[in-house]
Amino acid sequence: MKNIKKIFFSFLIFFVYIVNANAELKIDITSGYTEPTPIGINDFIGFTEEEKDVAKQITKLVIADLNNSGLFKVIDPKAYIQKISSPNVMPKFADWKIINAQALIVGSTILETNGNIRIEFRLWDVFAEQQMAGWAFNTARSNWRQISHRIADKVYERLTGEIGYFDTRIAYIAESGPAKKRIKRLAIMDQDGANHRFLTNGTNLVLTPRFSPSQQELTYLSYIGRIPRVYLLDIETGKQEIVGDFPGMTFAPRFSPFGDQVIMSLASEGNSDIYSYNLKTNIRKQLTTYRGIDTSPSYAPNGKKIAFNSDRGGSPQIYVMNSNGKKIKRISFGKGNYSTPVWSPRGDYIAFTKFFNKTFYIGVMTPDGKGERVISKGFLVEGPTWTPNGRMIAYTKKDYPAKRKEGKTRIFLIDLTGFHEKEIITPLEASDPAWSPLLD
Amino acid sequence: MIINNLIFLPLKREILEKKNYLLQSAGLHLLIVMLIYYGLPNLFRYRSDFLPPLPVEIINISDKTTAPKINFKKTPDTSKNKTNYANQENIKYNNQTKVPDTTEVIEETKELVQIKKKKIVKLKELKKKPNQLQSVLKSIEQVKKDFSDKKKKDKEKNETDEKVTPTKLGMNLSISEVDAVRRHFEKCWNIPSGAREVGNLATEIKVRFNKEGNVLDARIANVGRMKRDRYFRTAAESALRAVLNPRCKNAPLPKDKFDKWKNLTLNFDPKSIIGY
Repeated sequence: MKNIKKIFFSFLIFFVYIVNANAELKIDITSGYTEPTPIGINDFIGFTEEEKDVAKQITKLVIADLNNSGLFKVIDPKAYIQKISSPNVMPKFADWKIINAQALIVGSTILETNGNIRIEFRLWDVFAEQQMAGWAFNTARSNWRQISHRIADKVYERLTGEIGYFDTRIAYIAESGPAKKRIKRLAIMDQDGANHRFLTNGTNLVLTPRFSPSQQELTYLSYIGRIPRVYLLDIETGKQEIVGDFPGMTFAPRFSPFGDQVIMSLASEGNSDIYSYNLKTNIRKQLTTYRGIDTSPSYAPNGKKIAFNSDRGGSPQIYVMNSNGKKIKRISFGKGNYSTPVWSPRGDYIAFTKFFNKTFYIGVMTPDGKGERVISKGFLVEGPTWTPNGRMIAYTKKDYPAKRKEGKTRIFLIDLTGFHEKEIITPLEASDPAWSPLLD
Repeated sequence: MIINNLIFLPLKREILEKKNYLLQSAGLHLLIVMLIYYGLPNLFRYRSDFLPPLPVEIINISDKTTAPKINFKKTPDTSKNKTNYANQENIKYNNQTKVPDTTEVIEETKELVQIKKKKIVKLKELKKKPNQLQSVLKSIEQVKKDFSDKKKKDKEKNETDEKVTPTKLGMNLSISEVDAVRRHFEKCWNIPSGAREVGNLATEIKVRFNKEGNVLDARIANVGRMKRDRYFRTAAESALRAVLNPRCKNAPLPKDKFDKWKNLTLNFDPKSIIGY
């Protein structure tokens, strides 16, 4: 037995020696750059004139989607050396490396006899010289727009690891007119600005639209009859109804993650508390009882916790509580006033607005209050909303006044790291964006 | 039944009786399998550019960069030779200029000392130095002649290129060399900065270089995790792209230490960027 032990240990020592002997030099690389990834998109290939037309539109939309995400930069097609004429041929990677394309999309469009279109495309990793993925879609021709977004989604997903969000919509408040007579209308559009329409006519002031997870409804604040109250709007039918029959002003509404409840603030006599209202049973429930201001509630994606804003500590700060109103815990401890907490759909961050030293900031922190980071600042930045994948934040940004003129109010989109800020183009001035959930 | 009685039962009995031996045997086999698993792939990897081992005296100074010029004439005996090494070490910390290879010089000085003492080199020692096995047959005079020739050549070389005079002491990459490699690849790495759990996305890329510092091949170390974690896959692919990026050709690696860096592991870790 002793011998066996000896042999065992000598083997062990030998084994450890071999592992160590093979240890290679390791170098840590902890920094890099954060520019948009340059990618090449070969024009989608069509063989007949009709196919070429559709292919051209699809290419244009995919390019716009990827560029607008801020994470990619589609290289100008004029710079392409190789013009690929078939999606089933291996690209000449050297040609794409020269123009620094890190990924390459090659696709084709075929019109089928039944009126459908069939779209095939491949995503190539240029540096690794291999195909990353390939897909084929078959759909009615009228869906070309959706399909283009889906293509961009697939590319985005494959390259970032996040779920794509290009087939979604944005609701926002369209603003026009002078500051004292500002007209605010509820509007909705595709995330790329297409299919824009107004949902209200501007007679009543509207604020803070929020999407239902079921997507066909919006909840928002409207001053109908000059009393601010929370309403519900069916986007398809245009039907508008008041949420609950609360005695007093209700505001700052938001849906629960499952769409069955609306959570909001109810104010009376200088005190505002948070209430939840069940849309099915019409039961309302008071969640906070503090005599100061509790507002801006936002559910965690699992529905178990609620982040909200309260001045119970002397100044507006962010707190988190259980969804039944118990175990209230303050999470913001930085300098300045914190407001409008919004829980990320991924659940890993809470976005907020902060006011400190005459400047507004948009920032994120983890739900336990750690890792606070400012991602944007300005004369007025507020009202963050997450893209459905929790990767980017859209928010209202008002420029500094210039020559006694009010600054412009616009919506911007920014990566949660604080890089890649981009404006979301709207026909009028815009504020209070709300991103729709993903379409199934 | 017959089969059962004839084969399985006796076998079962035998197994029960020899349980201990079986366990021991299984353990040893497992060890051998592990040795093969961890030992063999590297044998193959090193095969293509395998260099015969050099008889190097280990001087562990990885952070060094410099050593002064060594004067062969001032090494009359072994003890003085040793003190010379010590001086060498001291000076090298103060002097931050560029240096070539040390090991050769160390051998040369040693042998010179031996020659001056006119001692015959022991067979055992020479056996440890495969490069010089042939010299066993040579007379001391021959060795001496070889060295004077070499010294002449060295002198000529030094005269033509004075900057190359100092001598390298350690074979490990110095901090500044490692930093140069780090900076080189940082400029090609587009960080997956907004990904979830970015604090847990460090990716190791195993890279094999040629002598020009160009990547011969690169592979992601943890391929298994790529299949089940799409965030990791993105991070790993971005790291691989950084290594393969044409802008990152010709890594600034010291050619004389090729042996040390021909196989490198680059660990791309995005966590510090987002402030974790």
